[in-house]
Amino acid sequence: MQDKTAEQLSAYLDGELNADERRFLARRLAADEQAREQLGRYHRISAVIRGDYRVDTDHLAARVASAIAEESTHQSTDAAAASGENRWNWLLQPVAGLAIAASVALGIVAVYPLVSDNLAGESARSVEVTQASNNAGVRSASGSLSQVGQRSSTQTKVTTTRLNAAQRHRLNPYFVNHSEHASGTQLGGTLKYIRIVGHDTNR
Amino acid sequence: MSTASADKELVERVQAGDKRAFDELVLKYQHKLVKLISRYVHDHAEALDVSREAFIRAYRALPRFCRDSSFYTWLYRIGINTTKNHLVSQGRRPPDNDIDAQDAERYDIESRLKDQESPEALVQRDQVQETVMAAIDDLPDDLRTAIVLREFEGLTYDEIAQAMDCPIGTVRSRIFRAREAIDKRLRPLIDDTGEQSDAG
Repeated sequence: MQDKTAEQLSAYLDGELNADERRFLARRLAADEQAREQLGRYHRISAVIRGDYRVDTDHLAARVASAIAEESTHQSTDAAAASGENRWNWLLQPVAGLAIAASVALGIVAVYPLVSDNLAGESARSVEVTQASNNAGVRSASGSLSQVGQRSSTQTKVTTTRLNAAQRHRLNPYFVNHSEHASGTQLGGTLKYIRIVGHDTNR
Repeated sequence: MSTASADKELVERVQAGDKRAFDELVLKYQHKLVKLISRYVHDHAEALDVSREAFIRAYRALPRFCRDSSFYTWLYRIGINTTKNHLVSQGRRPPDNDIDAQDAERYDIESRLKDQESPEALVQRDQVQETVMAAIDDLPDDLRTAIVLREFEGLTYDEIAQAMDCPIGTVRSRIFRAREAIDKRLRPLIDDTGEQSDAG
């Protein structure tokens, strides 16, 4: 090997080559086994001086190189982007995002009414069960306190299993609205009570 | 160019598909990694196998390597994890206390007396070390000063040029000639210990 190349290898090890020299030497190292051996020997001297050297370690680089030769070659993301199959990635990503968002929106629009209907149906069934239970309780009532207690516990159980917290939360506005409506139309409602008070004051 | 920048450049080349650039990273760090793994795997041949496995894992994981990180710190973690997996697979106790990569050098100094190498390997290593030191001592003054400032003090060529009051090109030449002289003394000894310089 020429002294000039060996001197460049020595400077390369120390990170003292300029960009052009580094590029040249990288190509040389890729093609020249002797150059790699030389670089390995310079690294070995540094390892001995630092106290890192271990006997027989120089075998390792060749063993790793032969194992790596069987591995697939990496392709950087830049190179992948430049390749033909990924040329439309810049367009596919936002389109795919929009498609996912549209699918979710469509799913909500299409499925929500069905779920709502089912919930309404379940609520209705819940009422029926409660009513049936009440009727049965009335029919079988014979003044027995234990029977009344049994009926109450049955009612509670059915209501709890049919209406979970989420459903109760969703029904809450309905109950509030219903209560307001009822208070305005039925005797004893709050609005009516206020009117009466107002009427009394005017008098 | 700093070590970190040089490593970054090599990593980018590997990530772009240049396998030979990974050979350079192996040449650079093989001694350090074997030394690290030898702390936990005391059989030298076994430590070399684990080191090889660690390098292969590092190669496979390199596309996920964050380029802003230190390559050696990353390789260090892979080395420790590969060692732990190896010891567990052998039914042996893995290291229970991790040493941070930044503290590794300090730990090396403290643990030198606890080295687990075989007596033969220690003798050979001492011979190699003595040969290198003797070769440095025998160098002409200008070469010795240049190599000592570079290898022991870690100065850049520019700093050495200022310290020795000479051009950078002269520093580069002196360091190269010093390395050649040391290598000339070292090679027969390495060959005598049965080591083939198939990688360097």
